[in-house]
Amino acid sequence: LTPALWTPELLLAESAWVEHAPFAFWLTDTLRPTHFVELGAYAGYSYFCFCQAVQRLGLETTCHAVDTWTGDEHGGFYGDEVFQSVARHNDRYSAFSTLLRTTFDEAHAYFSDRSIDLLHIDGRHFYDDVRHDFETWLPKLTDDAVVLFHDTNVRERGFGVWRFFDEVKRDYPTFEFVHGHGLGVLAAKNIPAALRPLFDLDKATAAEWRLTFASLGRAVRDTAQLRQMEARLLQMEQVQRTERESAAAARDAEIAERDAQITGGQSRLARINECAVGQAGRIAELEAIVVAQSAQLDRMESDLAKSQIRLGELAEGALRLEEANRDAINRCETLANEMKQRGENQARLLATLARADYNGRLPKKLSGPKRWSPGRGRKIRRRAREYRQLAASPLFDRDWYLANNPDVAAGKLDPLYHYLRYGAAEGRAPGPYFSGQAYKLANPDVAASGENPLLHFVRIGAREGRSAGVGLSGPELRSPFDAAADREWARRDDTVLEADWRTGADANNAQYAPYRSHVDMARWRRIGISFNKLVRAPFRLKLGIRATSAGGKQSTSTLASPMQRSDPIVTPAEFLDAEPDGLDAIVSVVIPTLNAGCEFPLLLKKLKSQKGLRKVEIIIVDSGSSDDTVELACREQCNVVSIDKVKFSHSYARNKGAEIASGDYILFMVQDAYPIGDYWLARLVHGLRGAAPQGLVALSCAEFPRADTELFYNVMIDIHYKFLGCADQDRVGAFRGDGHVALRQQGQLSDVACLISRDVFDRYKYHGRYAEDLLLGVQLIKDGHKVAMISNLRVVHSHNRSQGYYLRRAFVDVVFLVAAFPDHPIPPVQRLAGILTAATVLGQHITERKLETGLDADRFLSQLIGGLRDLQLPSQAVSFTSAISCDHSPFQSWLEHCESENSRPSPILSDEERRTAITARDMFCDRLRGLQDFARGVYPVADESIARQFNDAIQKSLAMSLGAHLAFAYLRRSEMPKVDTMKLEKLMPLMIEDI
Amino acid sequence: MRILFVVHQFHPEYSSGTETVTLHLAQAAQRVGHHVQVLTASVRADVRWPRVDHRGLKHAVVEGVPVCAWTQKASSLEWFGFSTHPRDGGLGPNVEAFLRSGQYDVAHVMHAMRMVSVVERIRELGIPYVVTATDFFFPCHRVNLVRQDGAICAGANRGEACVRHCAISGVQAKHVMNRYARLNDLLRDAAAVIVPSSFVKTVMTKEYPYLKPIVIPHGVDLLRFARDLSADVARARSAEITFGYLGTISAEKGILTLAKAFNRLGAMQPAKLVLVGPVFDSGIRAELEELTVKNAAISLRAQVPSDEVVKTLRSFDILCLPSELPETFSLTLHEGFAAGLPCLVSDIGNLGSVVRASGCGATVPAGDLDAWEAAMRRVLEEPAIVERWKIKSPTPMRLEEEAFFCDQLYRRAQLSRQRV
Repeated sequence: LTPALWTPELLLAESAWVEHAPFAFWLTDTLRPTHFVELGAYAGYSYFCFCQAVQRLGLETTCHAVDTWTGDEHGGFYGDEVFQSVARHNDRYSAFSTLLRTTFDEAHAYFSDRSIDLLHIDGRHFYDDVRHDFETWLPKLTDDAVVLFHDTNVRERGFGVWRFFDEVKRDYPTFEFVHGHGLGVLAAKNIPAALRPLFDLDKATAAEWRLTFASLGRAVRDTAQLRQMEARLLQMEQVQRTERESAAAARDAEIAERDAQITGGQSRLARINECAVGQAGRIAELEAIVVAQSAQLDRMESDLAKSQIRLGELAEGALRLEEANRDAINRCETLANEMKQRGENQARLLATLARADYNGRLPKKLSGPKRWSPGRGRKIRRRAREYRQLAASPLFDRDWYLANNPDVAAGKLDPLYHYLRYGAAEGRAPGPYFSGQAYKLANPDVAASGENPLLHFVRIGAREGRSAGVGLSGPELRSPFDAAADREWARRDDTVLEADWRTGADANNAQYAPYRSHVDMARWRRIGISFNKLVRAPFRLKLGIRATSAGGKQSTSTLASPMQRSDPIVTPAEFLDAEPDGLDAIVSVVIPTLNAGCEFPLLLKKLKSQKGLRKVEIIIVDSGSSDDTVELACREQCNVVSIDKVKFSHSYARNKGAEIASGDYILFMVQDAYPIGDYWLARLVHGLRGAAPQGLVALSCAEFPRADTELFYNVMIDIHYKFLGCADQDRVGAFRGDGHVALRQQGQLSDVACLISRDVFDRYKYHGRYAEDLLLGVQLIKDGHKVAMISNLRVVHSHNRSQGYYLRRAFVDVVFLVAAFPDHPIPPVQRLAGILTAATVLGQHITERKLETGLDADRFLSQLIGGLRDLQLPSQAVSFTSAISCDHSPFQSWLEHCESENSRPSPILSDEERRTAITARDMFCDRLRGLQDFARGVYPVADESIARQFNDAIQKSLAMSLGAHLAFAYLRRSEMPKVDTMKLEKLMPLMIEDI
Repeated sequence: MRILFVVHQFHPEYSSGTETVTLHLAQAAQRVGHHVQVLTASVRADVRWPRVDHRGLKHAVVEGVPVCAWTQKASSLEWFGFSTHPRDGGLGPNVEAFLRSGQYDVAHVMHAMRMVSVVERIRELGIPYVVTATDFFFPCHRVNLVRQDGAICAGANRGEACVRHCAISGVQAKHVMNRYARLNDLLRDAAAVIVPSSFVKTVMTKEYPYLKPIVIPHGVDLLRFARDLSADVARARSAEITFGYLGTISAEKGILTLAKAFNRLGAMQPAKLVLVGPVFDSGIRAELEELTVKNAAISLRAQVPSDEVVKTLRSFDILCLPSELPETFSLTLHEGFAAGLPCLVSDIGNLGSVVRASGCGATVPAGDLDAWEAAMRRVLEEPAIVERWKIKSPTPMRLEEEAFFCDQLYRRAQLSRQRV
């Protein structure tokens, strides 16, 4: 075994053959071949083991290695460097070793038959390759030849050597090592004598041989690995040494550089020290200054802190003062009202008294002989009677008259005679407790008769309770809008209102009732009664205002409190805590559509995904959509009912849908609404069922505005819901009186989302062209049922509408309300020109005054309303079309028609027209107050977007005021001049179209 | 009602997700007639505010919503809820005066970072408050429940886990425990706690067993989607399938995993991958750009403005959200639903929960390259699955719905205060 203990000269730890080197040495020594050939040498490890043995044993063996040195699929492909390395190593064996860089088949021709006595096959390892190599090279073998096969123990990646070697075992003597991937030894024809012991080994001895060569092989492998590690270590040491040397060189260079820097630095330091000595003194001086300034700064900071505190106190004080000022103004107004009222009462009282100091004397012009003359005598006698009546009345104050009319005093005229003869006609007041001009304005019949106003008051007016116009004199009466008279009028209403609030007394409400709820609330607010105060009213508030207009209808409107609290149908946020129990109910959702738009798919998907109910059935009633509404509804498996567009009305369409409903309940919705949450519908049904024992038969959701809604709509909804009592709580409405306000407050339902049981609906159905939901609710409460508006479960819905829409909407609403509620009063609108002129002047005014960014919207609106009150009416005809901007072209055409007929002899407005204009302005101001209330609470400062929305809302408020007034005019058309009647008749169809 | 919104940052200094949600809620409250005020912290000296009052508080009006900010002088540790300022967290008398003078009926704490002392003062003043836990700020000072070593945290365990796994230089264990207790008290005393997803609810309930969080997902502007989708002419569908991602492009969001997995599909597949969003990490950018050079089917696009989100989503066939961190909500996922997109999402956080519940896509193990490759390959081999998923795409919550639910909680909080 001695050669088997040799160590290979070429050690390749990664070679698969590394463990067979001892056998190669032993075999060469034992067999001593003449010609050795290796097929597949790769890196040359096995080949050079044989060469090493040949050289060391001094044999005559010739050796050939055959390989392409490009690699194969099993060993992998490689570059030329492998061959170069093998060739360099082969140089030491060049005397007997030759490398043949070619394929095995090509090399085959270079060898004579029966010339090779040791063949090592280690080429590509597929079965076919090994078989081919063996069979091809078999003729080249001598009779005593031995063949070695490597990788006989590899059974993966398609290696086929093991299979071929198993086959040849049947025909040839063989021996196999299993270590080092397996090495097979085969005797080609005869077993060489030297190797016979190997082939004849019994199993136990063969095993010992295998174990021995395996151990020797592992030793070679370990040695190879050790050498390899030593080489790597050496290499690493070299690298480290190189790095250390270069680092040392760099460090030396750095040290040299730093030495230079230190030298430079030392010289600079020396210079700096010199300077420092000089600076030390300066520093000491500066430190002293700093100390002094610090102390001063401390004092200043202290002062600043005090100032800030003081400033804060002042700011808070200013706020308090402002508040106090506001209170003071309110108190002043209250006091003024009280004073005025007292004055009025006193005037009436004085009118019934006679002066004790009047001795019955007459001035010469009335007591002379001419009083008996046949011509003028009668007139003088009548004037003498009037003189005596006025002279006896405390309402004529001689001294006051002389003091306030210096021309009379200077002319040394009898003051009463002057008043009787000239002063009354000139609009002069007879004393501090009576204003003739105000009296005539408040009493057109007096003005029309030309009678002396004081005489009329003393004789008739005081008994009839007419106003004496106390405290209203001087410049205020000169406004063409008659601001003073109007203020007086409004204040008197407030006074009565406040009195009624305190006493709960009944009164008439003919003047302002049609202004709808927000107007009433604006008035309550103006006299300091907040909505919350009303909410907490312990009794039903009966609101009335005495009619002051001769034309006003006498009616009683009972305002039942909308705020009577009841248990909520849904408590706030209850649906967020837990899912409701499932309901065995089917709901049919009826939605009228016309070109439903891009949001419609969202609604359908949301409705279909509602949970907690047995089934949701969707019924679409389409009135001629030209878009894909119907197609979409069909695709979403809705029931679709098509109706003729001409037949469409809100009632007709919904009734048609309800006819095919199969659900236990019907939910009426609109095409642009959107449910909130996945259990929305189930919650509604729960609410309706839960309150059914208390008589609830229908309920509607309040709206929650869309993200893109306009401010004006939000304000309207806010006011409307406060009127209904569903702004922050559920309202359960029941019959509380047959006044139109009570019916509307209690009976209002909303078709944006209205749930009702099918049985109840079948008994009632919808009626009317407009406001079918309100009419249904009113009928239900009249029949003893209850209906609810739910605040705690809402539906997403709102609008962005144009001015033209709001104008027409207001018109239609008023016409509908008056038609639906017989007690609904109509204010004294007397002339169309008054409405249009007022709208023109108001429109011009608001166009010139815009809310700007950074301003307080509340204050701006306050100033705007104040400015509107003092507006002058135009002294000549105005262009309606230039100031009333409306995006509804038929209305614009109508307006042009009105303007073309507005050429009249006198540009001055008549009294009727002026009164109409005042009413129109008043309603507009009340609408603006609603806007102001919203602004005060929500938008303290306007930025650009908010300012734009407010300006837009102001325009729309005017459009609604105009629309409502045109409706009042239309309803009073029979009392108007024929020309106005004709215009209003033409207007009606334009206003209701498509609303 | 007078409502105070409390948020850690706001316009004009910052305008990311929480700020946008706050603005929407405040505007919705204004629309129904409430007075609103946003109170926030000012931390940027380079932003000019329109007005500074005599108390030193900064004021602005943002799209109609009044905003007030105070400049916090305490250390940044105070921002994260550590009590470094013994008395009032550096709040000073001015903020308290502001809170008193506002006479608020209710406060909504949108995010408590930087505002813990403010919320404590609100509580002391007896103002009921609603808290939105949009992330995990309350139990975790790192906000995301991911430990310093990158592992997902199993829970704060009353702060003990924070001490053990997420120590902060200069902060003692007692401070960490104190933070936990402090914020725990704030949650306990809240009138309601809102969470954006069931996933967050599960985590918060595990952390605070007494808590009953209310799930209100953030709303999506469905009106805009409806309008934009109807205006958008449907693009011609080809055999090519577009996988898309929209959002911040970072390793944590799993974008490298997604891109590498797509790259493995090879060029023979009729597919492309579109990545849209800002890239702040230059390393990620370089790797992605290299991939786009090698594979023309991968493209990297810059962040798009909000009005182009719908159009961008419409250009995708499948939305891919491979986040490797547990997302608490993911607005992009819900916007994808609004655009009717099916999706492939990682199986952690809210992404996995939502998609598993609705069946509108597939969940894929987060960070698993082979799994992402297999998921995308499945889509390509079986394109009909896209349509099946699409049908199951849920309708996300609408902005107005979220606002109404919050409004209801404000009313309930107000009623509870009145009862007290």
